[in-house]
Amino acid sequence: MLRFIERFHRGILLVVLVWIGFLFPLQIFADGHTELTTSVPSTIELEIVLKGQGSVTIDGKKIAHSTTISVDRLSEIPISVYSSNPSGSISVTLNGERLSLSTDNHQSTFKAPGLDGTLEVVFPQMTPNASGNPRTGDDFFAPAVLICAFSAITLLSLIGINIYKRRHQK
Amino acid sequence: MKKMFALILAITLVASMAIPAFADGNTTTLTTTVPEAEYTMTIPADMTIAFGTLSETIGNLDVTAVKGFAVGKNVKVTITYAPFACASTSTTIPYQLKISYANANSTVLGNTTTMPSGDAVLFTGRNGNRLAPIHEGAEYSEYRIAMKAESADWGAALAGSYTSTITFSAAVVAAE
Repeated sequence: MLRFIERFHRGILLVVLVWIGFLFPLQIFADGHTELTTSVPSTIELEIVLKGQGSVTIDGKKIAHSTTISVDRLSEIPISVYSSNPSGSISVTLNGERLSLSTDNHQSTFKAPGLDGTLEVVFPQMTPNASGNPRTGDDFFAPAVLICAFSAITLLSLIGINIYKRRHQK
Repeated sequence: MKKMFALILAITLVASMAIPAFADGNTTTLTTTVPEAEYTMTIPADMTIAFGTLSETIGNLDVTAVKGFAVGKNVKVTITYAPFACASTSTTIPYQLKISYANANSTVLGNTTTMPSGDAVLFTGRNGNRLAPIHEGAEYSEYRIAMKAESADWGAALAGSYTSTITFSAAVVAAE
Protein backbone atom coordinates (compact mmCIF):
# COMPACT_ATOMS: atom_id res chain seq x y z
CA MET A 1 0.00 0.00 0.00
CA LEU A 2 2.78 2.44 0.93
CA ARG A 3 4.59 1.47 -2.23
CA PHE A 4 1.47 2.30 -4.29
CA ILE A 5 1.17 5.75 -2.70
CA GLU A 6 4.86 6.34 -3.34
CA ARG A 7 4.42 5.40 -7.00
CA PHE A 8 1.33 7.66 -7.24
CA HIS A 9 3.33 10.59 -5.92
CA ARG A 10 6.12 9.90 -8.37
CA GLY A 11 3.56 9.99 -11.19
CA ILE A 12 2.22 13.34 -10.06
CA LEU A 13 5.75 14.73 -9.83
CA LEU A 14 6.49 13.49 -13.35
CA VAL A 15 3.34 15.14 -14.73
CA VAL A 16 4.22 18.41 -12.99
CA LEU A 17 7.74 18.32 -14.43
CA VAL A 18 6.38 17.68 -17.93
CA TRP A 19 4.03 20.65 -17.61
CA ILE A 20 6.87 22.87 -16.40
CA GLY A 21 8.79 21.75 -19.46
CA PHE A 22 5.92 22.79 -21.71
CA LEU A 23 5.59 26.16 -20.00
CA PHE A 24 9.29 27.02 -20.23
CA PRO A 25 10.58 25.46 -23.42
CA LEU A 26 13.43 27.96 -23.90
CA GLN A 27 16.81 26.58 -23.16
CA ILE A 28 19.48 29.17 -23.78
CA PHE A 29 19.14 32.90 -23.56
CA ALA A 30 21.53 35.44 -25.05
CA ASP A 31 21.04 39.19 -25.17
CA GLY A 32 22.59 41.86 -27.34
CA HIS A 33 22.02 45.58 -27.37
CA THR A 34 22.20 48.20 -30.08
CA GLU A 35 22.11 51.81 -29.01
CA LEU A 36 20.73 54.46 -31.34
CA THR A 37 21.52 58.07 -30.58
CA THR A 38 20.32 61.29 -32.13
CA SER A 39 20.58 64.98 -31.42
CA VAL A 40 17.76 67.45 -31.83
CA PRO A 41 19.11 70.96 -32.54
CA SER A 42 17.79 74.16 -30.97
CA THR A 43 17.57 76.03 -34.29
CA ILE A 44 16.38 75.28 -37.80
CA GLU A 45 16.99 76.79 -41.21
CA LEU A 46 14.10 78.83 -42.58
CA GLU A 47 14.18 79.66 -46.27
CA ILE A 48 12.59 83.04 -46.95
CA VAL A 49 11.16 83.38 -50.46
CA LEU A 50 9.98 86.85 -51.50
CA LYS A 51 7.92 87.18 -54.68
CA GLY A 52 7.13 90.69 -55.87
CA GLN A 53 8.18 94.04 -54.50
CA GLY A 54 8.42 94.41 -50.76
CA SER A 55 10.27 93.27 -47.72
CA VAL A 56 9.70 91.45 -44.44
CA THR A 57 11.06 91.80 -40.95
CA ILE A 58 11.39 88.46 -39.17
CA ASP A 59 12.45 88.33 -35.56
CA GLY A 60 13.83 91.86 -35.92
CA LYS A 61 15.82 91.18 -39.10
CA LYS A 62 14.80 93.09 -42.22
CA ILE A 63 14.87 90.93 -45.33
CA ALA A 64 14.50 92.45 -48.79
CA HIS A 65 15.58 89.51 -50.90
CA SER A 66 15.06 85.77 -50.77
CA THR A 67 17.49 84.18 -48.35
CA THR A 68 17.83 81.54 -45.63
CA ILE A 69 17.93 82.45 -41.95
CA SER A 70 18.34 80.50 -38.74
CA VAL A 71 15.55 80.67 -36.15
CA ASP A 72 14.87 78.99 -32.83
CA ARG A 73 12.81 75.84 -33.21
CA LEU A 74 9.21 75.89 -32.01
CA SER A 75 9.45 79.51 -30.85
CA GLU A 76 6.96 82.31 -31.51
CA ILE A 77 8.49 84.63 -34.09
CA PRO A 78 7.14 88.10 -34.99
CA ILE A 79 6.85 88.97 -38.67
CA SER A 80 6.06 92.28 -40.38
CA VAL A 81 5.43 92.58 -44.09
CA TYR A 82 5.97 95.77 -46.10
CA SER A 83 4.60 95.88 -49.62
CA SER A 84 5.54 98.46 -52.26
CA ASN A 85 1.99 98.27 -53.45
CA PRO A 86 -0.36 99.51 -50.75
CA SER A 87 -3.34 97.94 -52.43
CA GLY A 88 -3.88 94.26 -52.96
CA SER A 89 -3.49 91.36 -50.61
CA ILE A 90 -0.27 89.86 -49.35
CA SER A 91 0.05 86.10 -49.14
CA VAL A 92 2.29 84.61 -46.46
CA THR A 93 2.64 80.83 -46.23
CA LEU A 94 4.76 78.74 -43.90
CA ASN A 95 5.45 75.30 -45.35
CA GLY A 96 2.39 75.70 -47.52
CA GLU A 97 0.06 76.79 -44.73
CA ARG A 98 -1.26 80.32 -44.93
CA LEU A 99 -0.52 82.77 -42.13
CA SER A 100 -3.02 85.48 -41.32
CA LEU A 101 -1.70 89.03 -40.99
CA SER A 102 -3.33 91.95 -39.26
CA THR A 103 -5.07 94.08 -41.87
CA ASP A 104 -3.79 97.42 -40.62
CA ASN A 105 -0.04 96.94 -40.29
CA HIS A 106 0.54 93.50 -41.81
CA GLN A 107 2.05 92.08 -38.64
CA SER A 108 1.72 88.68 -37.10
CA THR A 109 3.56 85.95 -35.22
CA PHE A 110 4.12 82.37 -36.23
CA LYS A 111 5.40 79.31 -34.47
CA ALA A 112 8.72 78.28 -35.94
CA PRO A 113 8.60 74.74 -37.30
CA GLY A 114 10.54 71.92 -35.69
CA LEU A 115 12.19 71.06 -38.98
CA ASP A 116 13.76 73.13 -41.73
CA GLY A 117 11.06 74.92 -43.67
CA THR A 118 10.09 77.61 -46.15
CA LEU A 119 8.33 80.92 -45.55
CA GLU A 120 6.98 82.38 -48.76
CA VAL A 121 5.71 85.95 -49.10
CA VAL A 122 3.90 86.96 -52.28
CA PHE A 123 3.36 90.69 -52.69
CA PRO A 124 0.57 92.08 -54.89
CA GLN A 125 1.57 92.87 -58.44
CA MET A 126 2.11 96.51 -59.36
CA THR A 127 -0.63 97.64 -61.79
CA PRO A 128 -1.19 101.05 -63.49
CA ASN A 129 -3.54 103.22 -61.47
CA ALA A 130 -6.81 104.52 -62.74
CA SER A 131 -5.46 107.97 -63.70
CA GLY A 132 -2.80 106.49 -65.93
CA ASN A 133 -0.09 108.54 -64.25
CA PRO A 134 2.88 106.51 -63.18
CA ARG A 135 3.73 106.32 -59.54
CA THR A 136 6.60 105.01 -57.50
CA GLY A 137 6.94 101.28 -57.84
CA ASP A 138 4.83 100.97 -60.99
CA ASP A 139 6.10 98.64 -63.64
CA PHE A 140 6.94 100.21 -66.99
CA PHE A 141 6.82 98.86 -70.48
CA ALA A 142 10.45 98.83 -71.51
CA PRO A 143 9.99 98.55 -75.31
CA ALA A 144 7.73 101.62 -75.37
CA VAL A 145 10.28 103.64 -73.44
CA LEU A 146 13.05 102.53 -75.80
CA ILE A 147 10.98 103.39 -78.88
CA CYS A 148 10.20 106.83 -77.48
CA ALA A 149 13.87 107.46 -76.64
CA PHE A 150 15.01 106.30 -80.07
CA SER A 151 12.40 108.44 -81.80
CA ALA A 152 13.40 111.51 -79.79
CA ILE A 153 17.09 111.03 -80.58
CA THR A 154 16.29 110.51 -84.27
CA LEU A 155 14.12 113.60 -84.37
CA LEU A 156 16.73 115.71 -82.62
CA SER A 157 19.40 114.40 -84.99
CA LEU A 158 17.30 115.31 -88.05
CA ILE A 159 16.63 118.76 -86.68
CA GLY A 160 20.34 119.21 -85.99
CA ILE A 161 21.29 118.09 -89.51
CA ASN A 162 18.70 120.38 -90.98
CA ILE A 163 20.03 123.38 -89.02
CA TYR A 164 23.59 122.52 -90.02
CA LYS A 165 22.70 122.34 -93.73
CA ARG A 166 20.87 125.65 -93.64
CA ARG A 167 23.82 127.42 -92.05
CA HIS A 168 26.25 126.02 -94.61
CA GLN A 169 23.99 126.85 -97.57
CA LYS A 170 24.14 130.54 -96.61
CA MET B 1 8.59 -39.32 14.83
CA LYS B 2 5.04 -38.26 14.36
CA LYS B 3 5.85 -34.81 15.82
CA MET B 4 8.80 -34.45 13.51
CA PHE B 5 6.72 -35.42 10.49
CA ALA B 6 3.95 -33.01 11.52
CA LEU B 7 6.50 -30.18 11.85
CA ILE B 8 7.96 -30.85 8.41
CA LEU B 9 4.47 -31.01 6.94
CA ALA B 10 3.55 -27.74 8.59
CA ILE B 11 6.70 -26.01 7.31
CA THR B 12 6.04 -27.39 3.81
CA LEU B 13 2.47 -26.11 3.96
CA VAL B 14 3.57 -22.66 5.08
CA ALA B 15 6.26 -22.55 2.41
CA SER B 16 3.81 -23.47 -0.32
CA MET B 17 1.48 -20.63 0.73
CA ALA B 18 4.17 -17.97 0.92
CA ILE B 19 3.46 -14.82 -1.12
CA PRO B 20 6.27 -14.05 -3.53
CA ALA B 21 7.93 -10.70 -2.91
CA PHE B 22 8.26 -8.20 -5.81
CA ALA B 23 11.34 -6.05 -6.25
CA ASP B 24 11.80 -2.87 -8.38
CA GLY B 25 15.32 -3.62 -9.36
CA ASN B 26 14.41 -5.27 -12.68
CA THR B 27 14.31 -2.06 -14.78
CA THR B 28 16.82 -0.79 -17.36
CA THR B 29 17.59 2.91 -17.56
CA LEU B 30 18.84 4.40 -20.80
CA THR B 31 20.58 7.77 -20.62
CA THR B 32 21.82 10.12 -23.25
CA THR B 33 23.20 13.67 -23.40
CA VAL B 34 22.19 16.17 -26.04
CA PRO B 35 25.04 18.62 -26.52
CA GLU B 36 24.19 22.26 -26.06
CA ALA B 37 23.45 23.99 -29.34
CA GLU B 38 25.91 26.72 -30.22
CA TYR B 39 25.67 29.76 -32.40
CA THR B 40 26.96 33.33 -32.65
CA MET B 41 24.41 36.09 -33.06
CA THR B 42 25.48 39.23 -34.90
CA ILE B 43 23.46 42.37 -34.26
CA PRO B 44 23.66 45.89 -35.72
CA ALA B 45 26.33 48.16 -34.28
CA ASP B 46 25.53 51.28 -32.30
CA MET B 47 24.52 54.08 -34.61
CA THR B 48 23.86 57.81 -34.71
CA ILE B 49 20.70 58.83 -36.49
CA ALA B 50 20.69 62.27 -38.12
CA PHE B 51 18.02 64.71 -36.99
CA GLY B 52 14.91 64.48 -39.14
CA THR B 53 15.76 61.09 -40.64
CA LEU B 54 12.59 59.42 -41.87
CA SER B 55 14.08 56.06 -42.80
CA GLU B 56 17.51 54.53 -42.21
CA THR B 57 18.99 51.05 -42.43
CA ILE B 58 20.47 50.09 -39.07
CA GLY B 59 22.15 46.84 -40.01
CA ASN B 60 21.76 43.08 -40.22
CA LEU B 61 20.73 40.38 -37.76
CA ASP B 62 22.49 37.12 -38.41
CA VAL B 63 23.54 33.87 -36.70
CA THR B 64 26.76 32.09 -37.61
CA ALA B 65 29.10 29.43 -36.17
CA VAL B 66 26.12 27.12 -35.83
CA LYS B 67 26.53 23.78 -34.02
CA GLY B 68 24.00 21.23 -32.89
CA PHE B 69 21.08 22.39 -35.06
CA ALA B 70 18.81 20.49 -37.40
CA VAL B 71 15.26 20.62 -38.64
CA GLY B 72 13.04 21.13 -35.62
CA LYS B 73 15.42 23.20 -33.56
CA ASN B 74 15.30 26.96 -34.15
CA VAL B 75 16.69 30.18 -32.75
CA LYS B 76 14.10 32.75 -31.84
CA VAL B 77 15.23 36.38 -31.45
CA THR B 78 12.89 38.71 -29.62
CA ILE B 79 13.42 42.39 -30.36
CA THR B 80 12.43 45.05 -27.86
CA TYR B 81 12.91 48.78 -28.12
CA ALA B 82 11.48 52.06 -26.90
CA PRO B 83 11.18 55.53 -28.43
CA PHE B 84 14.14 57.89 -28.36
CA ALA B 85 14.24 59.53 -24.96
CA CYS B 86 16.18 62.46 -23.58
CA ALA B 87 17.23 62.94 -19.98
CA SER B 88 16.80 66.71 -20.11
CA THR B 89 13.46 66.96 -21.90
CA SER B 90 10.05 65.39 -21.56
CA THR B 91 9.52 64.68 -25.24
CA THR B 92 10.23 61.38 -26.96
CA ILE B 93 10.66 60.46 -30.60
CA PRO B 94 8.79 57.26 -31.46
CA TYR B 95 9.95 55.11 -34.32
CA GLN B 96 9.28 51.71 -35.82
CA LEU B 97 11.65 48.96 -36.79
CA LYS B 98 11.23 47.42 -40.22
CA ILE B 99 12.48 43.90 -40.82
CA SER B 100 13.14 42.39 -44.21
CA TYR B 101 14.62 39.12 -45.38
CA ALA B 102 17.94 39.63 -47.08
CA ASN B 103 20.82 37.83 -48.67
CA ALA B 104 24.38 38.85 -47.93
CA ASN B 105 25.90 41.19 -50.52
CA SER B 106 22.58 41.43 -52.28
CA THR B 107 20.04 44.15 -52.65
CA VAL B 108 17.30 41.63 -53.30
CA LEU B 109 15.10 41.73 -50.23
CA GLY B 110 12.09 39.76 -49.18
CA ASN B 111 8.91 41.08 -47.69
CA THR B 112 9.41 44.05 -45.37
CA THR B 113 7.28 44.05 -42.26
CA THR B 114 6.86 46.33 -39.28
CA MET B 115 8.33 44.84 -36.13
CA PRO B 116 6.57 46.13 -33.00
CA SER B 117 8.59 45.99 -29.81
CA GLY B 118 8.38 42.52 -28.27
CA ASP B 119 7.92 40.67 -31.54
CA ALA B 120 10.35 37.95 -32.58
CA VAL B 121 12.05 36.70 -35.71
CA LEU B 122 13.01 33.10 -36.30
CA PHE B 123 16.13 31.43 -37.62
CA THR B 124 14.86 28.06 -38.71
CA GLY B 125 16.94 24.93 -38.28
CA ARG B 126 17.86 23.35 -41.60
CA ASN B 127 19.49 20.14 -42.65
CA GLY B 128 23.22 20.29 -42.67
CA ASN B 129 23.50 22.00 -39.30
CA ARG B 130 22.32 25.38 -40.55
CA LEU B 131 19.99 28.17 -39.46
CA ALA B 132 18.27 30.50 -41.90
CA PRO B 133 15.40 32.96 -42.10
CA ILE B 134 12.63 31.38 -44.14
CA HIS B 135 9.91 33.37 -45.87
CA GLU B 136 7.28 31.79 -48.09
CA GLY B 137 9.52 28.81 -48.66
CA ALA B 138 12.50 30.88 -49.69
CA GLU B 139 15.67 30.73 -47.64
CA TYR B 140 17.54 33.94 -46.83
CA SER B 141 20.83 34.51 -45.09
CA GLU B 142 19.93 37.31 -42.69
CA TYR B 143 17.42 39.85 -41.53
CA ARG B 144 17.93 43.47 -42.49
CA ILE B 145 16.74 46.02 -39.94
CA ALA B 146 15.74 49.61 -40.64
CA MET B 147 14.14 52.34 -38.57
CA LYS B 148 11.32 54.60 -39.67
CA ALA B 149 10.23 57.80 -37.95
CA GLU B 150 7.59 60.40 -38.70
CA SER B 151 8.43 63.97 -39.63
CA ALA B 152 5.88 65.34 -37.17
CA ASP B 153 7.53 63.47 -34.28
CA TRP B 154 10.94 64.90 -35.14
CA GLY B 155 9.43 68.35 -35.40
CA ALA B 156 7.69 68.14 -32.02
CA ALA B 157 10.79 66.97 -30.13
CA LEU B 158 12.48 69.51 -27.89
CA ALA B 159 16.18 70.13 -28.36
CA GLY B 160 18.54 67.67 -26.70
CA SER B 161 20.45 64.41 -27.03
CA TYR B 162 18.26 61.35 -27.36
CA THR B 163 19.01 57.63 -27.10
CA SER B 164 17.12 54.42 -27.71
CA THR B 165 18.29 50.90 -26.94
CA ILE B 166 17.28 47.93 -29.05
CA THR B 167 17.58 44.60 -27.22
CA PHE B 168 17.94 41.34 -29.10
CA SER B 169 17.12 38.33 -26.90
CA ALA B 170 17.95 35.00 -28.53
CA ALA B 171 16.85 31.55 -27.38
CA VAL B 172 17.03 28.04 -28.76
CA VAL B 173 13.52 26.70 -29.17
CA ALA B 174 11.89 23.59 -30.51
CA ALA B 175 9.88 24.02 -33.70
CA GLU B 176 6.20 24.47 -33.00
